[in-house]
This record gives sequence, structure tokens and C-alpha cells, in this order.
Amino acid sequence: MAELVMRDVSRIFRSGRGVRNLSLTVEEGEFFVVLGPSGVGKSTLLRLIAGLDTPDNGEIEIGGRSVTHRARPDHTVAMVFQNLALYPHMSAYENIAFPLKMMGLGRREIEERVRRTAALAGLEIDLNRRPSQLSGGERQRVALARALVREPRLILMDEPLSQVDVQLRSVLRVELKEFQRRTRRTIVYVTHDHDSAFVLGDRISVMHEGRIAQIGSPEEVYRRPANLFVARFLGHPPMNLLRCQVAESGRGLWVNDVRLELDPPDGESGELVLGIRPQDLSVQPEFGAVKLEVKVESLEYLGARYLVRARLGNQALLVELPRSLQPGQIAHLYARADRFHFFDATSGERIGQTHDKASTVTKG
Amino acid sequence: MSQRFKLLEICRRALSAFAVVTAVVPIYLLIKQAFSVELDSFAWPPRWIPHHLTLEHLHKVTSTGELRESLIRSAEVATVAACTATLLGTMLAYAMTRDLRARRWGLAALTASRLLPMIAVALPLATVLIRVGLYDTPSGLGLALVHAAIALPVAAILLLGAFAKIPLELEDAAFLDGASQLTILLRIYLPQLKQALAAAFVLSFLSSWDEFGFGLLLQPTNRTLPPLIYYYAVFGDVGAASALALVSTAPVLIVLVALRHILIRQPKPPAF
Repeated sequence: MAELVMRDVSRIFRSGRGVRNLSLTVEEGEFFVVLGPSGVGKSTLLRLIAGLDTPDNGEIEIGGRSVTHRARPDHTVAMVFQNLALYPHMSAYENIAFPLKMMGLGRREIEERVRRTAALAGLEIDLNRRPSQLSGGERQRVALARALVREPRLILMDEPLSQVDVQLRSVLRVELKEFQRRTRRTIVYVTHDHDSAFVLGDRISVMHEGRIAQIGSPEEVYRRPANLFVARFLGHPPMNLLRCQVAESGRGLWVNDVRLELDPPDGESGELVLGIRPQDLSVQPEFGAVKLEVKVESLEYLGARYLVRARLGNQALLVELPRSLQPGQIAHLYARADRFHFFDATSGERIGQTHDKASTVTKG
Repeated sequence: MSQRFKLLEICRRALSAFAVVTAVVPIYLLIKQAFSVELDSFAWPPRWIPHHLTLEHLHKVTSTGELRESLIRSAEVATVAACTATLLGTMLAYAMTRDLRARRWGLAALTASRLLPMIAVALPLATVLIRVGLYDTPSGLGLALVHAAIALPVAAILLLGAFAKIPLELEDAAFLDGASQLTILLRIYLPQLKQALAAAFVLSFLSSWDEFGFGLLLQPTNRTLPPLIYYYAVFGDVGAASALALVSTAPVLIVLVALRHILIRQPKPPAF
């Protein structure tokens, strides 16, 4: 059953930022990640779902009931804020108990539910301590427990992991994913960090300028980006995007004056944008049938691999290789034909097999 | 020790001595005059140690109707002024943390009101107070409102600093947790503003308690303490004036002692 449905929702601020004609559906028990650069409308989206803001247009439903014009939030939605928004003058226990107190529950029941929820959120600390006396990870768990304690249908998270250091973040991320898998809560998680999105999300919605650029599983959005924005935004180093011309015959491509023996999608002619990820290129001929002749310009040592900056025609190309090349040298790179992406040069939309599932993309 | 350090040391000592003399001597003289007989106060050459101690002045101050009345009036005026300034300052500061335009205009207005010479507004203010019937009232309400207006900028800016430390998300979080506006104010904001509220209250209270000019102009017959002390001193009863001045320091001490726990920040155990 669909837990959250948004239909054609708009909320546009005077600055021009906000959310435009946005529609999406989140299934019950799903970990849904909204991914996008900052200022793209992710937080607005979350505030609309939470009821902290009202849409200009459109409908929002939670659990089958319209909540578009609710006067105040009910107990169906809880939120974990970016800065966690723990009440600094209350102990961890009082923080978690606060929503229950507002519900008017008795002391016995509050105590029982706080203890249970704290355990569920993995809190093994003295709950009488204040937020300022807790570590970053403990604060995260207190914030999670406070969101969980009312047993909401929907938990919203606004980059709650962005303020802890990288190592702790990856630990907490796995923990959160594990927690969601175990409890099957419906979570909408907003982030600008695509590592978090990939680790956490059952599905990812990539946002661009207040709209959804693509919704799909992490594999789908990574392997089959629906447009140039998604192609550029996901993956690091980013996908190489080269302007190219379809050859007169309709077979083969020209990247400036370099010819590639790669067939464009059927029926395409004129200018296209060709995409290839830096990891999908190799110096070994058996790696793929498409050969690219490039000029090596410079190298960066990344530890496990080298990042090679090269030129194909007069366009820059990034390649990740396990071994180093000589700057100035002409190198031959190989890639599989199915690893190339094609985009319309004017609209930026993906061309060919867009709605095809990942089945045509063989793993390797 | 080098020549330069010696000079520095001399300057430092001279400054300390100056500070002690200017701060301690007047207080000592005040206490001495409040408890010594008239003859001692005016003896020539002046006596540093009084020869005869007396409680006469203190007794006069507490038993004379006029003095007692003005003491109470001053306390009332200062309390009303401090409460009003703190309350309005809180509302103003809250609006200024929520709304960028309110902040810009609010700060400009608060600063501008401080730039005006007070004496320039005193006469128009007196006219207004006469018209609304708050001029020279026994309760001193008109003066209290003026004092509140004078204290408001400081109170508002002090509270603005405290509000700015509270993230806006806290209010959103409490709202989602099901708290009403009143609950948010009482249980989320107030506990975190205690210190700033106390400080704003104390500063407003003291600025009103100590204010002389408007008191003189707006309460010519129903006097507050500072003008009364002035009258007594001018008309020659130095002993009573001193006793009164001494009494006027008491509420300040009481307020400071009562609020010391809130005003002095407790060191928090470190977070890790």
C-alpha cells in the first residue's frame, strides 16, 4: 500500500526556489531517499510532508488520508532534523518522553515506551544525561528515539548524519539501514551525499531545481541516468560527457575529428552527448570492443588507482586506471559498447532503452 | 627588570590606586555620613573617623512618610518598568529572530531611539503624559512607562542574542511533537532564556531605579528616590540624604543576590 502520495505539489518561494509540480509515491516499509544538491527544494519537500509548510498547489496523502490542509500535524509523521533539534535543557529521557507528554499519556506508560524505544534505537546510556553530555552518535540515537516513540507511520529525516564525522557516519548509516530493514518503517530521507543515498535507499529520487529528475533503485539511477543532470550528479569522479556527431552513414560517431566505432541508438542523427564513466574504461583490449585513442595529459595518484586526465579529440576525459600512464603519451582505451550512455544534446534526456530495466546491463 | 616594565608596573599601580580611591572613598563617605551626627559631617578639618555614631538618620528615613513613600514608589516604578521592558523586549527579540525584515527595522529603530538626546524628548513626553492623565501620579505609572521605553533597546538586544542561540528547528520539532504555541514558549524557549531574561530584568530595573532626569521632570511632587536624595542634599539634610542613598543600594543588592544563580553561568561538563 502506498504510504505517502504527492500529486502535482508545488510550493514556490519568492526567491524562485522551492518545489514544482512534484509527484511521487512512497510504499509502506520503504526507505526512500531524496537526493540533490543543496538549495534544490529537498528540505521544502520534507517540510511539506511534515506539515510545517502548506503547498500552493497539489495534494498530499499519508496512509490514504489527505493531509494537504491539516491545521496541525497529527501523530502520523515524525521528523529527525539536520541539527537534530534536541531540547538542550532536557535530559535524553525527557527529550524522548516529550512527544508522549504532549499526547497526555500517564507516567507509567511514558516510562515504559521511552525505555522500549531507547532500546530499539540502540541507546545504551544513562538517559538522565543532557544532549551536551552525549557523543555525536548518542545524540543521533536520541533524536531517532524521539521520532520513533510516537510510532509514526512515516519518519522524515533531513540529513541527520551530515554533522558527524565521516567514519562515524558510515557506521551510523549501516546501523540505520539495519534498523529500517528490521522494523520495516517507512522512511523518507533527504541528503545531498550520494554515498548515503546509495547505502540507505531502496529507491532514490534525484531532485533538480525543485523537480524530480529521476526516481529509481540505486542501481537504476546509477547505471541508467535519465538525463544529463543525473549523469553528472551521481558518481565520483563524474561521468565523462562528450559532444559528438553521428556519422553520415548512421553508423559510428565523431568526437571532434576522432572516429569511434560505436553505433548510436537507432534513428539518431546530428549532435548527441555521449557519456562514459571513468571506471568503465580500461587499457586492456579484452575489456571491451570500443577503442578510444586518447592523449594523456596528467595523472593523480588516488592510492588504489590512478586518475588519468586525458583528451579525446579536444574534449577532456577522466579515466580511472589501476596503473599509471606517461603524460604526453598516446594511449588506447577500451570500453564495452553497452557502457556508453547517449543523451539528447538539446533536451539532455537519455536516448534509447530508458525504461528498460537493468536486465540489459550485464554486470561485470 | 627592564626600564619599560618598571614604567608599566608604576602605571598599573597608579591606575589601581585611582580605581580604589574613586570607588571606595565615596562609598565610605556615604556610610560614614549616614551614621554620624551632623556636626561630624561638617567638621573642619574633615574627619575620616566619625566621633559619634547615630542611627538617627536611618530612623528618620524609615519613619518619615515622604521618604518611605518615595522608596516604595521607586521600587514600584522600577519593577513595572523592568517587567514591561523585559516582556516587550522578549516579544521584539522573538519577532526579530523569525523575520529578517523585522530584524533590520527593529535594530534600526532601537538604535535610533538611543541616539536621541533624552532631554529633547522629555518635554513632549511630559505633554503626552499630562494629556493621558499619567503625569505626576502617586503610582508613578507614567514614569515607569518612560523608563521601560528607555530600557527596552538594551533588553531587546540582550534577548536577541539569547534567541539567536536557539535553533529555529527546535520550535519545528516541538510543533511536530504536538506542542502548542504556549507550550513551546513555556517549555522550550523559557528554560533556555532564563539567564537572558534575568539579565534584562536586572539591567532595566537598575536603569529605572537610578534614573534622575525624567523622575525630576515627570514626578515633581510624587517623587522617586534619586530626586528626593537630591532635594535633601540641596536643602542641607546631608545625613538623611546619605541614609537614603544607602538604603537605595539595598534593593540592588537584594536583586543581585536573588538572581545570582541565574546570572552567573554555571560551567557545563564538557561534551565529547
